[in-house]
Amino acid sequence: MTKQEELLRACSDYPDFSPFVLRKLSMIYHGVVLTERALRQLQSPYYCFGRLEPFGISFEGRSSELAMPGAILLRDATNVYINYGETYANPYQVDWNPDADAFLLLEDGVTLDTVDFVPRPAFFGKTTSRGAPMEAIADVRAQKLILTAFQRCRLWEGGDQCAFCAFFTGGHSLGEVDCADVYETVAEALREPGRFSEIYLSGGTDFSGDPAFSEEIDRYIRVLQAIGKNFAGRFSSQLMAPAYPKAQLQRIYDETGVTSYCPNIEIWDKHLFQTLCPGKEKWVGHDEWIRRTVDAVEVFGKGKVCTQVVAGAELATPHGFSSPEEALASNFEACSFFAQHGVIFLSTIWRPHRAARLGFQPMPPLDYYIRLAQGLHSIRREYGLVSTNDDYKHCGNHPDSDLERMD
Amino acid sequence: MEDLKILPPRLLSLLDAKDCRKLLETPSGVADCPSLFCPQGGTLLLSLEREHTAAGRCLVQGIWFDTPVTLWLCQGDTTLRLTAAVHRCHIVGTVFSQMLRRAQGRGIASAWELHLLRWEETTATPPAPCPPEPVVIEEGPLRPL
Repeated sequence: MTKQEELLRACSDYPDFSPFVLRKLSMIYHGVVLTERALRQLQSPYYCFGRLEPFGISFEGRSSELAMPGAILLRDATNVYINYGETYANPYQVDWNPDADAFLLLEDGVTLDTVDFVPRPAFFGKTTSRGAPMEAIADVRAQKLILTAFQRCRLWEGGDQCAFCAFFTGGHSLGEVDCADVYETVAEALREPGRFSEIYLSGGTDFSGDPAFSEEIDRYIRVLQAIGKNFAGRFSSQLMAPAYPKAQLQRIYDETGVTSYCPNIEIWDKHLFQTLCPGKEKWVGHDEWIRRTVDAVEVFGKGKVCTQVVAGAELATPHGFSSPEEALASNFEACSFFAQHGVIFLSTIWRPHRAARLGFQPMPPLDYYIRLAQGLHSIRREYGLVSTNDDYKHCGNHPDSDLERMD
Repeated sequence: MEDLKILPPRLLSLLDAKDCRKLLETPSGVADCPSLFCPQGGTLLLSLEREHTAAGRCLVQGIWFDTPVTLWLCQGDTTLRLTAAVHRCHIVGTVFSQMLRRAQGRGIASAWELHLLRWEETTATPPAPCPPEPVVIEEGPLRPL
């Protein structure tokens, strides 16, 4: 069966499900390669992203001379994130057609649709007054500015990193970001009219300090304050960080302009969490992670606390569930539990990576992701929860929140 | 991917008229779309200040499920009813920036490209306006100091 036949069958099986979100799932599942012509066109000033990227992931199949593009944009503005350079068995192709002045999505030479890419932000290519390249300070999505406070993850030190993670494996990460660089980069980014509607701050885990994470919390406060110097009050933003105790979260909320918080559970099942996220288990623990996530709603408010799972990793060999049904039941249980407490439970799609401990292995079938997105969306809607910070335009990495556009 | 029709002069002239009321028909009524225009004679463009609205849902429905939308142009005694395909949504890039500039300081949530399928002059009147909806989420760009 071709990918297009598979997609058409899914459209028939799930007639109320967005065909564009299906395409997104299919593209992530099967992968996408850029033709030489497309990659050359993507070096043009309108598209050309930086050669540095703050999450520093190691990819084998990338040219060091050509910049990789931002997310693919489908015609409905659905974002598709691809591990460019990964070796896929049967990928889609994206080609540049100069006659049509458009990028085309192809399967075996047959045009399926036109696509586009997130354009280069105006601040890329500029440097801060200290000489730091701004593209190494901030990454972008369509409307989101992404900052990384600490470009290293200390969980890797004892081999306690999350099993699906490949962040900071590229060998050129910078460690702690400088607050003056952050302030200047955000100020420059905001000069581009209307480009950004949310700022997102994250980083590798740093458990340093006594109590654990105290240095990380202080760092996040410093960085959020540096960002906040660009605004009069609170600004649409999200801190993605470990699950902190409520008193520390109150401090973060009171001393900065941040508006939402996202401590990612990664895997809901307790045993799998302990196996696949040993560092999170060691420094916080599964039950405590959940308790702190729920407590955070008292600080940030209903719908302003999210937690994400790396959907598909719960089915990865050798530890995962043995059937999609078990995995769906587990994730739906999690979504219902969190929704009852005002927490938005989202899925992000696991993209297997050779540099991660789980390695490169087949993803669960497309049908799993369709049912998962549909189910999570339906549960959250039942509880009146809308993803204010992780919708299609702010993040674009969550098929379940893509579906909220019709709500 | 359908062929792009060139709009007839009568339609273009009405779209440019300052006193022309431009409406998007949705299942819950019509929504004003003052931004609707046709910059190059072919593609119709419009922007939405908020998209978690009947108009936003209608356009998403249109592009996801290939359902044409109905637009109304009303000027004095003249009413035109247009049927258009929803071709593309922009949340960043050249078209989005163009529509943002036209919004003159008001933020926009998204910009939309529509392709005209057919049009007719009609004596029918547009449906009633959509009822007001609560703001579900903040939409629009960050506003620095």
